[in-house]
Amino acid sequence: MLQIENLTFAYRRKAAPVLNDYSLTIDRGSVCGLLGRNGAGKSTLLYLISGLLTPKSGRVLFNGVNTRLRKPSTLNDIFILPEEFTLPPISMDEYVKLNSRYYPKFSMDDLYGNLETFELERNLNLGQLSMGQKKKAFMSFALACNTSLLLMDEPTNGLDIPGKSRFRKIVVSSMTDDRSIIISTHQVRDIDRILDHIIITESNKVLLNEKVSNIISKLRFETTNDDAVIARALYSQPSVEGMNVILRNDDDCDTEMNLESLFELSLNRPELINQIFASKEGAE
Amino acid sequence: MCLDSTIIMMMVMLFGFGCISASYVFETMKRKELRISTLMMPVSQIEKYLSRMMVFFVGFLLVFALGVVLVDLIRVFVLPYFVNDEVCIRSFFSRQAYDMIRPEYDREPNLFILFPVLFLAVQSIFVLGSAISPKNAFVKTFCAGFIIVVLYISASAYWGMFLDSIISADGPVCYVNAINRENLELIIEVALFLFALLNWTLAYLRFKESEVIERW
Repeated sequence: MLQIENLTFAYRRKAAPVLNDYSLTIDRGSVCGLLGRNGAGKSTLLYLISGLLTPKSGRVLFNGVNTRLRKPSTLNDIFILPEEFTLPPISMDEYVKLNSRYYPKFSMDDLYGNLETFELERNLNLGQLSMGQKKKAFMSFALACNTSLLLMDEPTNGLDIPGKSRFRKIVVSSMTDDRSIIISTHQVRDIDRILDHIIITESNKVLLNEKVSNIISKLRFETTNDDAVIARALYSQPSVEGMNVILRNDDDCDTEMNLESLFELSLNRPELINQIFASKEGAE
Repeated sequence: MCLDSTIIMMMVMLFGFGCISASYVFETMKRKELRISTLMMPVSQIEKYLSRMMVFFVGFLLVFALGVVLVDLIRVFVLPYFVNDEVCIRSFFSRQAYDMIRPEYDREPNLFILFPVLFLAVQSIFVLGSAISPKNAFVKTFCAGFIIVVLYISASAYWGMFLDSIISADGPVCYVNAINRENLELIIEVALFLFALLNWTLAYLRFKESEVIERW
């Protein structure tokens, strides 16, 4: 569905590129977590995907069409939820009336369902909401548009604790085989359970681009105080309950992925990650 | 005389407010969040551009025309209480006003074409200014225009003096009036219209290539 081909992008002509010869493929029907350090180019990548920035070279194809052309037929199937946004001071009904017509798959039932999950009234005035409420309202609208590709930049920033769990619930319930959601975030704990695809990126390359099922089949995540286990771990990190470790999953155990540890492992030992997942098609 | 000055005032206001209105064409591009929602709107860039032009150009002209009618009505009905001058309180839309303007039109019909074309040209400069720098577009375009005009006049004056000195040195010169006034006015009108078209096109191209983050 989404192909990023040899993308190179720099903010200034003579500046070092934020992305350099960057390639990535994302299939339909997945919730992708886009993770990376500050300044790794996550938001830039989202803007490039949605055609809001022009790459120096390379291209982004969405269903075979270059997104930079900003064709209406492409734009009505992509929705970006930026970290910062403004909503006009009008009622939700008016907002929906004005904007929903541009999205052919928009569902009013989905919108009302999402608002209900977030405990927001149906006909709220967007001008009178707090930042977190605005985010919930906009998120409800974004998900109700049912676009094939939904890009979210730090969606859980500004949400309260119940809001974060409700966000997860809404994302999971709105997923279909035809759509993909890319979530760029630092708050890995907010989203780690809903992801089924992980992309860990460093400025010039994709360190990890794998399905969660594949990661779990190859790696085992444990919390232990056993020195022997810690000694043979690929990566270990102290935590309150002991050491979070990542081991090779030679025994084919099913464990819950620890995204923070995986992120650290990918950044600190990229060659090892490459070696573990090299045989898998699609890995960068 | 009084009606004359009121009409001139209206024309000045049309230019002034027209330029201010034109500076707001790309108002939605001045902040990152607004740029995202504008650029991600699922319609073509030309539709977005034309819709903005409809609001801030055609819409402005309609509102201005309505304003003129309202001002005229107020003037005609309220002014008599304060001023005892028949000419001053005569409506723009009266027969007398028409009779006053008609001879001017018969004498200088080109001026009545030149004025709207000049308005389009000046308005287009502010549209382009808004496309290049949507933040404080009016002030920036006005300042840039002022500097360019001052530099142009200075350079022209200097160049004229320079040519004069050469020509005087070579002896007497016969100035030939190759273009008559009518043709010159026509050329100016066409040039101004083309200039307006060029500015609108440049503004569209700039808008079409806009990005979420300004990189220059």
